[in-house]
This record gives sequence, structure tokens and C-alpha cells, in this order.
Amino acid sequence: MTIIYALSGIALNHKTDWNPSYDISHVQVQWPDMPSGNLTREQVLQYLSGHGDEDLYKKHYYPEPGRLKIFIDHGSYDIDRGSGQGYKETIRKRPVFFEVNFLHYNPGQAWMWFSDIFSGALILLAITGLFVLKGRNGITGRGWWLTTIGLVLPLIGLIFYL
Amino acid sequence: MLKKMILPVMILSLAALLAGCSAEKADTAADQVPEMTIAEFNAQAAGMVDQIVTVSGTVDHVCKHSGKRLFIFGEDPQDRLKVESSETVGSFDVALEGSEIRIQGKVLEMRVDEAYLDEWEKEEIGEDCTADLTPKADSQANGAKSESAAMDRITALRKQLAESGKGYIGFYSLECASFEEVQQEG
Repeated sequence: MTIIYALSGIALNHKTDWNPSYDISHVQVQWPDMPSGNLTREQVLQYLSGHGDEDLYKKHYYPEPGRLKIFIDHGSYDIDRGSGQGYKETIRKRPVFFEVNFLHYNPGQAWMWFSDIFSGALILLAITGLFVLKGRNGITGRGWWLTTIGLVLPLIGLIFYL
Repeated sequence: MLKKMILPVMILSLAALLAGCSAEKADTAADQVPEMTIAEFNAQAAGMVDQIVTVSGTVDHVCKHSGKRLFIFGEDPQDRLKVESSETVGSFDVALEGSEIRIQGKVLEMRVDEAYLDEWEKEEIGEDCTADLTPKADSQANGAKSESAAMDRITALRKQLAESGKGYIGFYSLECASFEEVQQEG
């Protein structure tokens, strides 16, 4: 559980730099001789066969005039009908990261309660752990320094960023 | 002492997990839940807030950051509907994009009034995965991410608000209680 939240915490911490759950890639594509009018399924499949994606076809539609969107398994094509230029988007789940992020985002109420209880247990361990060791390794010795560092570092963060 | 506490904590956690797993999903008798197209929903939603309905459509977009919302469209691509996750359906798989799904859920209403528009004017436009069919992200859903586009949107909504005579504009969505993928032929 700790590893799940630690790993997803790292991933989500950098979500402005990357998508933590999916690897999304874009490739330029073109359909220079796109037929006019409403495209049939067969016409779209013929186009997709040129990219080796004919077996992945799901559906196609026109989000707005002059724009074609083709859904395939794990991605889509988005093509401007006027220029024939567009891109293919491919979406893949990131192994391990997708699963831990999925759990981190609370997939359901049961998991939410379970993770709340686990977090409570961690808090309990953190507090009681202060007093487990006795002597020079305990709270009156080395433990005092470690606890102080554990409090000072977040305070520094708050002072700088809040 | 700590070793003695581990077992009770584990049992308590397991009990909570099993209790959650045994909870039934929102289950309303099928014949009591009105089923409608997205176009019908958009026309009637104002009178069905907090009611349970069933709507079918094709998934156009699933939020790739949290998976907690998706958008479906109907026979006419201009008929669109936002669907949000719930306690029973925690998130949506991106693999649903392009699939036909049937959703049962509660009708939600978000009211946009002068105060909302005033607040929006002060905010910075967020990134695209906050896109939804509420006013702020409408401009983003239409690909217009610039501040000027957002201001145009605000201006248009102020005009719409003035014309509504109700003091607010309602935007409607579904909170998904359950859904199923409809197998398409061919």
C-alpha cells in the first residue's frame, strides 16, 4: 500500500511534465485523396489499411464540418478534410503507473474507506514510533533530532512556497 | 503491543472492503427508468434534475488524467453530453473512446449566474483535461484555449443569461451509476 501511494505520488507530482497513467503519442498523417461527402466504412478501412490499422477500426464521425475523426483501438485519427492533413493519436497504459494511479484516484467507495483506514494506521505507527525506542536512540536522544528534521523540512517548504 | 494491533487493523480493513464490495450499484427497475437519446435528454433535462435516466451514445473523449469524466455524442455529433463518475463507477477506461455505451445515471444541473461569470473572468483558463460542457471548458472543448476566446465565451453567456430571464443558465450532465458497452454490428 505504501509503495502504491509513494509511486503514484511521484507520478502525479510531475503531471505537468507527463501524463502519469498513459503514454500518448502523436504521429502526422495525411489522406491526400480523401473522397468528398460522407465516407463509408469501407473507404475508411481502405485508408487505415495503408497504416496497418484496418483491424483496429471502431467508428468514424465528423465532430465539426471539415473534420474527420476515426476511432481505433487504443487511439484515433483526427484529419482535416480540406487539407488532408492530420495526426494519429495512440494511447497506451503505462505499466505499473496506470494501476497505482488508478488506485490512488479512489476507484470506488470501498477502496476509499480501505485507504483511509490504512492512512490512519500509518499515522498511528508514526506517532507511536516516536516512543518505541528508549535511551540514546529514542525520542530523548537521536530520535529528537530525526523528529525535528521531519518537522523543519516541511515548514521550510511552507515558508518558501505558501 | 504493535504486533497485537496489526491483526485487528487488518480485519477492520478487510471488513470495510467487503462491505463496500457487497454494496449494490444504483439499481432501479429497468421499466421505471426512462431511456432517451442525447437530443431528448438535452431537451428535457431541465425538468429531470436528480432523476435517474438511461442515455446511449458514442464515447468521444475520456479524461486521461483521472478518468472521472467522459463525453458522449449522439446521431448528430452536435448532441453531446458530459458523464461523470460516481461512488459506484469510480473511473472510465480510455479504451471506451469510440465505443457505444448505455449509461444509467442521475441528472445533474450546474447553474451559471452572474456571480459565476464574474468569478470566471478573474480566473486563468485551466488546461484541457478540465474540459467539460460547463461554460469555462466549452471554449476549451471547442479548441479555443486563449484568454480572448474565454472572454468571448463569457460575453456570449452574459447575453444568453440576460435573454433567459431566469437569472441563470442550466448546464446538464449525468452522474453515472452504471453503464454497459453496446456491441456494434459490423
